[in-house]
Amino acid sequence: MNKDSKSIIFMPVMLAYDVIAILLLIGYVYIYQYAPLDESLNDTVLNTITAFAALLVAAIATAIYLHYQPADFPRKIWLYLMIGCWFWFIAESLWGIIVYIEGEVSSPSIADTGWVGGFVFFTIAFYHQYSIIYPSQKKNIIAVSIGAWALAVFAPAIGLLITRTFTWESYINYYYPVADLFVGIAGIALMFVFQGGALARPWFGLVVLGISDFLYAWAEQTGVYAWSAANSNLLTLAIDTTYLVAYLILGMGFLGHWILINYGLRGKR
Amino acid sequence: MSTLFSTIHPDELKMPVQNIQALIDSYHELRKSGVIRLGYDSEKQLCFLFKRGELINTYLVTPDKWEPLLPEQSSAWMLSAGDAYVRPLLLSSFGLLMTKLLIQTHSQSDTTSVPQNQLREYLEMIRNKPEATLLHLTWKNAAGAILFAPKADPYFNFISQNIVLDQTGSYKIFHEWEEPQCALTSYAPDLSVEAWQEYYLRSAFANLCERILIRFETLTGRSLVDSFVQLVSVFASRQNLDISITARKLADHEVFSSPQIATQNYRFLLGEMFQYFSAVIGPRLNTATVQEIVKNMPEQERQIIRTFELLPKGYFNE
Repeated sequence: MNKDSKSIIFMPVMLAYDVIAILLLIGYVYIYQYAPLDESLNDTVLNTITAFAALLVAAIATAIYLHYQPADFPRKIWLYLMIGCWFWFIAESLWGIIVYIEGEVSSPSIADTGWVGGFVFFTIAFYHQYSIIYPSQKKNIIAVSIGAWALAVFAPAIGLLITRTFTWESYINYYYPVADLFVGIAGIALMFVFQGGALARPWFGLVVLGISDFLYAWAEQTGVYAWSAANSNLLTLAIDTTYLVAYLILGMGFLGHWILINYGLRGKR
Repeated sequence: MSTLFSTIHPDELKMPVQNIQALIDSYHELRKSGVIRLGYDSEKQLCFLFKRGELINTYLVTPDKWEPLLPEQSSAWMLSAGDAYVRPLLLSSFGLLMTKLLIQTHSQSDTTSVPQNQLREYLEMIRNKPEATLLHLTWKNAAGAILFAPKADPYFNFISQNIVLDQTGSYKIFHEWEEPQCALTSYAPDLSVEAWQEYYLRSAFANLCERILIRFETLTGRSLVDSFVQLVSVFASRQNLDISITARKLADHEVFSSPQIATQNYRFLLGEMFQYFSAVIGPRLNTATVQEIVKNMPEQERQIIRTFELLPKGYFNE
């Protein structure tokens, strides 16, 4: 396929993604709000929609990774972003399966290994991205990455141990907001660096995901979070919808990047 | 100052003015690049420099001075001077720039006579000097010029009655030439001379583009650089410029009538490039990247960038 014939497909690809995203969002909000199916089926469909959005993100990240050649520096970034995304897709799927089987997910659960693993790989992706931008600052970037991880891992544990309220459940509930915060900060800093440029797009979704996950962790910690669509409240709807929207935005940012690297800046021709 | 082929060969015949005019017209019509040298008995020479059929410069050269002539002046001067010894020569854009360098530069040293069997060593010694040097070499039946510049292959012109070389790389023809004695004059770069200004503008532009491309490829990967390279051809052709990028190297086949015109064209291309890079990596990172690159460029190139304001506003930060 030559470049011209390839260029014909890039608009429909984005359009198709937008249509799928809107349909997913409408279906999600409708089922959440009106719970038209059996109680467990409603939750299963909702969790499947979220897992599907995560799958789309992982698939697009894989396409981007495969586009780069081995000598391309950004390939390293996308290798770890891709692995992180697949980890999160696995986590979302496990979460949905556990909710389907048990109705509620204990904390910590096996799904948490997916999210925590995802964070590890996102950190490595951030490291490579910052190293490319600031090649002379590699040691500092490593130090900040390790420091952020140490803080995310040990600060909740130390706080809980000091207040003698340590349980694995409470630890996990404190770990996520801190980890989300760091992902958010790292992502916002990259958006600041790439401000006004197309390379800011992929990181924007990660920031939104960090914020929405932070909100979920907060709701779960404060007991506001409702576990079932049948007894949901408006805040839970907003938090869960934000979470789905974050995946969809992340996917949109990734797809924008895929189009950019495949077809360049179309407006400049 | 000197022209590359100042010696009027005994075999050269005088050409009537109307034939000279026809020769000039043929350069226009056939879009030729090169020089037409008219030699006169008064030791004056009139040099017409053409780029793709366009007359970019005319110089009136005597053994101790030169002056640029406007096209209408040169035409009038040529008509009044009458018949002339004519040497037409097809040259590349860099060959034309070498011609301008030779005409415009004053030599700081006297011409040295070097035995032919010592020329190789002599040239090697000059080649290893840390600064750029332009050499003008003349024999009884041939002439040539070599430009040695740091981190670049030597560029040379060699002209005899039957041989015309205008290329980069091995210059062994100079020490293989079978005449016993060579008259050699060396010229040092002089940033007050327009031709040297253009030379350093060209060099700074190429250096800047290549460094930016490497950095941009590191940040974005090969495919975006490939699509950018295509755009450079589009930008250049819009301006009727013969500038392209091949294998991440800038191929600049341009020569301009003045450093000011060169600056205008290079500045336009850089503006388009920066606009593209800004759209991809963001204006903030783009500006920081360019500033970092300029900071690490050789002093002479930075000086020329500063003097001619080659970079769009906000990119030069000193």
